[in-house]
Amino acid sequence: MPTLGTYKLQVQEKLLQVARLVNKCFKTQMPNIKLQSSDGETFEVDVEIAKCSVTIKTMLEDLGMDDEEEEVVPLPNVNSAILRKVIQWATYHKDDPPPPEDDENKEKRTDDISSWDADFLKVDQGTLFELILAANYLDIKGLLDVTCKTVANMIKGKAPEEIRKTFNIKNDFTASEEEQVRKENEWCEEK
Amino acid sequence: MSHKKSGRNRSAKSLGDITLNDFANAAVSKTRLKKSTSNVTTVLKKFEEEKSWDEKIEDDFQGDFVEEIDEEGNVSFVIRKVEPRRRRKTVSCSDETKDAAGNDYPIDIWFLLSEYIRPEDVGRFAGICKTSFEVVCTAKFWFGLYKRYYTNVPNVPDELQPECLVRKYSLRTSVVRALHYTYTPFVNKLKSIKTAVEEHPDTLIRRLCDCMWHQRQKGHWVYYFKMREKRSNCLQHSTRGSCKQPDLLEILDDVTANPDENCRVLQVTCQHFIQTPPVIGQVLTSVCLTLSQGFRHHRLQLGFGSGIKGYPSPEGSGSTKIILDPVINFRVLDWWHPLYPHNHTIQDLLNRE
Repeated sequence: MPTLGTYKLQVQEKLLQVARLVNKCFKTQMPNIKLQSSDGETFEVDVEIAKCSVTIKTMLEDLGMDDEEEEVVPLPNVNSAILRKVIQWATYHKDDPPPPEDDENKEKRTDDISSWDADFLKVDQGTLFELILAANYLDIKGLLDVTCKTVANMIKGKAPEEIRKTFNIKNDFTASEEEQVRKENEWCEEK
Repeated sequence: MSHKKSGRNRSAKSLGDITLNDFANAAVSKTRLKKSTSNVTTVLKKFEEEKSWDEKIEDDFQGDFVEEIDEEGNVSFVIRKVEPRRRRKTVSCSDETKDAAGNDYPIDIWFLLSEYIRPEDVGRFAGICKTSFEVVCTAKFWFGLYKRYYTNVPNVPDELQPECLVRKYSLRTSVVRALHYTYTPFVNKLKSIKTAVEEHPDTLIRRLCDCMWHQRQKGHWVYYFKMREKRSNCLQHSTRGSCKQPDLLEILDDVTANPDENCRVLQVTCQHFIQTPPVIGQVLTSVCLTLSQGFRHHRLQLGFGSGIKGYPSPEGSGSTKIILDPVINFRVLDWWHPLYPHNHTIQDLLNRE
């Protein structure tokens, strides 16, 4: 026959188990993940939002995720300013259907950018280029698509000099090299 | 004890064999080198002592052989490292790459953007910076552009069909030609040129006649003059960058090869056959386009010379004249025009390289 003391201990243990289960249930409802930028800042994000990134999704699947542990995912190629923007974009687009597979035999439209994305990408040109690199590294197809389209639209119809000025790109051509490139591409000049 | 090196360094880049007559049997004693330190085998041994062969990295061997003489007169050879060229950053465009002249973005970004570039923006894209130009010189770029803009339209030659367009050699030329069949803005551009007044042949003055031939077509005689512009290429394409003679495999990988790059063809359709003197290798110096007798057709007079003032043409006189009369039609064709006469077989293209 168990004594009152051992009975109390058993009840306490059961209660703790229940508490752990409840805690686990809440965690599976709203699990969060910590992402650490290259400059050391940590962002707590819903796992489902973080999984917009195929890189993070694969990482979590390959390594296995334990809810009990609060592991931090380091992202050494993305700084905090850019990671903040990426999370903002992913949060807005979290309920979007998965983007269709790329058809390399199809012309890529650049005029189908949503108004929210257009407003979101009204940033300085350096940030725009860094967003492309981050989207490529994190493998977020939707963000990569929309950022590249934005830059491609800004290139359309502009002379190389104007493009360089718009994006603050260094001109590493000599005058004669520049002339050679122009001559070689006479075939696509709009007359 | 470390030896203090004297400042007297002589570059011995062209280190050759040392003969006995140079030193041991020499009549006059020179600054004799210690055999133990100065022969090539010792130099190589010294390097081997530092590291075993498999531990060495390629950088260890880069640089010039320099002769160093210490205070005791001992001569030794060392490899003076050449400051390595700064490698392009490929990960992130941090502040380090920014300077007053602007940013230098990694090639990855240009590859990603290149997939969204329309054919009419290729020139602009290539002209942004050397890295974007480099991307435009790759087979990946041209295959991608072709696949995105290919549409099945009639009259596209077999060699420009997807199942035939597989080789890298001269890929850019083939894709540009294909786009002038399939890409609506380019097709419309050619149509607008057709409806406008034909380009006057005097735009070909100062060009060299590379080739000329004639053929009978639908009861008329068509004369062709391939005129090449002399240009010096200062910008090397990535595939043609090296100074050494490329081997056949390198040539076959040359995406940007185009034997017709600086050429335009003058196509003149005449009512009947006209005997023409050979002008290959001569420079077009004058063009006179007037009305023919009866005012229905044109009379085209082309003057060719050596292109050098005061130097006679091969025929002896000041210039060679070709008179084509009556001319039914004439056209100046760029290399990307669907009517530009060209040969696509690899054997022919390589023979012209």
